[in-house]
Amino acid sequence: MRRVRSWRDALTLIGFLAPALALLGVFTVWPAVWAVYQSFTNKALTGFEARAPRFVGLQNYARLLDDPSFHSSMLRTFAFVLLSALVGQTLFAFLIAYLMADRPRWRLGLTPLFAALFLLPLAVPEAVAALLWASTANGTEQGLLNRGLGLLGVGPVEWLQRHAFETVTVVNIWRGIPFAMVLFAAAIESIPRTTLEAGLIDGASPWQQLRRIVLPILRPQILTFLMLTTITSFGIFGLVYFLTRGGPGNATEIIGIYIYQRAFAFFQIGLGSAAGVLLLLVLLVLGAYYVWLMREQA
Amino acid sequence: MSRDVDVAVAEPQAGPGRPATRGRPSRARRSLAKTAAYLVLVALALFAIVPFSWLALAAFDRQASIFVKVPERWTLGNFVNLFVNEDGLRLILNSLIYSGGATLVLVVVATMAGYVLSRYQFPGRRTFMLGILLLRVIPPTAIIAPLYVIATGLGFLDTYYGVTLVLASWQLPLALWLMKGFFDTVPIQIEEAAWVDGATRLQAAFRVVLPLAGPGVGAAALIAFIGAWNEFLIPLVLISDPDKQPIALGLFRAYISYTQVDWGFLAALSVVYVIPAVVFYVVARRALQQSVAGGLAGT
Amino acid sequence: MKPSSANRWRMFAFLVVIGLLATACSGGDEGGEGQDQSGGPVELTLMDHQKPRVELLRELLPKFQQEMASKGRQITVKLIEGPAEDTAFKSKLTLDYNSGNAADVTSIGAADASTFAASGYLLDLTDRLNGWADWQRFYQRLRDEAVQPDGRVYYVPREATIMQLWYRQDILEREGISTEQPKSWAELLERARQAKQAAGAPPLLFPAGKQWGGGTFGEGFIHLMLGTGSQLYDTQQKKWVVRSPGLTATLQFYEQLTSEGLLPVQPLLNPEPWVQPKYKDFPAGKLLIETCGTWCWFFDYGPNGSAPIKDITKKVATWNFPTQNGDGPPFAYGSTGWAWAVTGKTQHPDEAFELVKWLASGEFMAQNAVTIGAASPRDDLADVQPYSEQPQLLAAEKQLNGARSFPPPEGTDRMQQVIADATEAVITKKMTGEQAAAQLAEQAKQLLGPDKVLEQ
Repeated sequence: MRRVRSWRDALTLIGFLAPALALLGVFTVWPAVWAVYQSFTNKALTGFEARAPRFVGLQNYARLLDDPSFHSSMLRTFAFVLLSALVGQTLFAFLIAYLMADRPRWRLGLTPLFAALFLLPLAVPEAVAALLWASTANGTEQGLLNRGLGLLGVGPVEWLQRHAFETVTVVNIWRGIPFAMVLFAAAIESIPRTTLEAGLIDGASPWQQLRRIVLPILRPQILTFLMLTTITSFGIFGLVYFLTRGGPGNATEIIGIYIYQRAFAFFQIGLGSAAGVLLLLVLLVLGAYYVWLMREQA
Repeated sequence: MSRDVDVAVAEPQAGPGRPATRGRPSRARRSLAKTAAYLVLVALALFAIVPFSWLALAAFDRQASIFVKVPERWTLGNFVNLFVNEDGLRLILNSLIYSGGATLVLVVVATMAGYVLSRYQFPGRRTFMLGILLLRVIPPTAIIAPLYVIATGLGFLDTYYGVTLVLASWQLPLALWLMKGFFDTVPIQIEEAAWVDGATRLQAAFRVVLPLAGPGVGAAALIAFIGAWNEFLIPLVLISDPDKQPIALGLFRAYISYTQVDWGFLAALSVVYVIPAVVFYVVARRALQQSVAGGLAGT
Repeated sequence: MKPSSANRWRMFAFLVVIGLLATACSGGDEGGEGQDQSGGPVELTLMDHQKPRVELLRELLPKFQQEMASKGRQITVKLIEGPAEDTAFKSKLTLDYNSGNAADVTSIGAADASTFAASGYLLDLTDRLNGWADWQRFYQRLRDEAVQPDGRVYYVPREATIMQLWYRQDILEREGISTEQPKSWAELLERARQAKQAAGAPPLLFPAGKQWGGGTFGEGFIHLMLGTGSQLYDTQQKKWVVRSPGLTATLQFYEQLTSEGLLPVQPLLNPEPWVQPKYKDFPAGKLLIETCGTWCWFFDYGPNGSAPIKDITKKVATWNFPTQNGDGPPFAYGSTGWAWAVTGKTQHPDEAFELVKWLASGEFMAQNAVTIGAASPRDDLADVQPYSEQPQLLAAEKQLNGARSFPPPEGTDRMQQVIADATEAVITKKMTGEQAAAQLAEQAKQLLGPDKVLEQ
């Protein structure tokens, strides 16, 4: 590492950083700043406001705070994040990683095969994931899930019509498990074997071993994952939009879809920006924590 | 939250009423536990793979529908159709252009910046690195409306280069961190040796350091490529010309169209669409695990 | 220390890939728009959506180019296909207009014309139309409708849409249910109750809720609203009437349909809510009465439609919409559905108008009417083939004179939104008609601004 001392160094530094700064500045930072600015205007793509947007102060925010569909969209998003990411993905992924881990007095066969299967959903882009589930969770008797239920004499269930929220939650769990699993598996692998053995010699039951040894050691990784998946899940759009476009009614109108609809279906850019800014605030709080966790590595 | 867990904390404290948990669990109990574990894994594995059944069958069925069914006649017709049919080929090419272009831009930009961030000490460097990381938490949905307005203003709406640059920008924070990390692992002494041989700083960086950081460049490129390849929202908003749609949009538009949907075509297109990601995870699993273990990557 | 050869190899492979990608990029970027100079040959862009329309254009546009060439004008038309779904198409139009990227000539929903015009997106065609003798051949009510609040005309109708109540004549007759024209909502309800007995399922469909998009307003709500004595828009004061006895009564009619189980509610909450009732239940004879337009003869139930009904002319017949209390004559809804408009930013307004004139006359219009199942918007098309061979369409065209319609003023898109919300609240039983009417007034005031609404 060398200190910047000469003009030459300074020029090299600036010259090398400039393209990255430009790219980030124009396409990420500027839109974020612009979102704040626009949230104070009534900019729209149609109607009177399209020709002459005006500064309207906090009106957009007041409207959002007054709008029951914004409230329910926020609540729905929180529930979506909590159920799918924090609970579903984490629990299932940890269960898989822990069961498949090679530990003293615990070794399962076929783990590479299982691992390959569990990883599959990770390889799938949102658009394809949505298509797959549109078929699997189809609401008629011929849908795959319903055919399974039919064997049990139940159904058919209109998954995407009557249980749309639950369905997209499950889909997000499905999609998020592999990533969490990889992370947890690597973390568990990194626990020194001797630590685990010491616990066994002291006579800890499997449950105690998990609770008193493994979980405390993995706390940082688990926290990191919880935060990453929270951030990612708040931003989810394509997966749900493709499947339900926020419906039926607004059963699956999570915040990303709410914003998209305001801006590009009702063309109220100002209002959509304001909702975006509120989402940004929530995430910046999480992000600050994330950055704090990562400060060592900078 | 310390990483150094005091093992003493984990002193066994079996409840008074549960003496059986002391000592080795019996062999029978353990095999019971293993059976249960296999059952859980099989159930979850089914959950993971069952949705793929439609894709695996419909792609090879000219009479495919949205429902899972075994083709009466297995055929590669859908795939042939993809490449004969102008629309399919165009979608694939467009996706390649966006993701390839974004990757190219990103690799150049992130390599340059990563190098100097690793090699130069300057005031505010740490803040800068953390600031970049903070950009990563911005979800696309939060700023998509202003991005559209800016795209209109700057005239890059509905252009290849516009979407490419936006995609590159959004992948950049992660790539910067990765690249800086990889350059950090290349010892400065190697460069110093080159300087002694008379190379300038830049020459040393190009000839000596860059080849060593090759795997890092590759990893950053792969992650960026996949990120851009999967993106749906940005082209949805920024691309309106059907001739410039990437695969994700093509799938969506076909899925919601009124006219009869060619499910076999969609399935075949989906298979093609999934291939790069599969390759990616095969190639990059190791690197991914490392960076993931560091808590860097996100999906 | 030197880099190992393995690393060199890796680097090489990587550069090759990058090189390939770079070529792909530059190759892709060349597909930009061609520039043309004034005076020389002109390239116009034309945007339309949905396969049958687009294919018809693709087939016939060369004739336009020949016609122009024979007049010494070199005009080529580049056809752009928009997204098939109406809301997605409108979204694309809006975004294109806003960004200045819109095609020179586009198909627009007449319902959106006022909003687009007020946004300054459309070319004022008034003077050009007044100089075009054929403009007088368009039905008076459609021409009146086309006049925007500022007194100008921004579009030319490409078709007349006639909407009526469609019913399964075969089944009603078989079940001994009267097929006479119902004169009031009460009579219609009575028919629906009998039909429910016969079908064993909710028999009557008025689109409602948010999923149907603009159709909730245009294919459902408005046919009821126009049958009440109340106005929805005060053309004198240029304000929306967001609270009126008629509006409340309309929402209460939805409430009654829901509480008596006459309306198939669940399908209305699905994405693509029309699929179940229109494409499955009506052909299967489970849904017996619905609102439909002339297009249904072809697009929906024709031999190549989404859900063909065999011998449809023997199985399906139409009623006009009854009025609320039967004090007015039943009416068909007659209006311009899709229209042709020229973008305000076009470089070639004269050539674009030439194209619009060609699209709105003779052979193309006749073919178009048959392709999309519409009545002619002008009175001189009845002997032009193939339109002249379509008795249903010709019959529908005759309804135009006594028809009612709602020329959508500025703000219609937002009213559609609040009406979708209100009807959804009613059919999901979250609110009574009365409560939904109150919510509607409140929301409309918010969305349109207090100075653009009235309460009566």
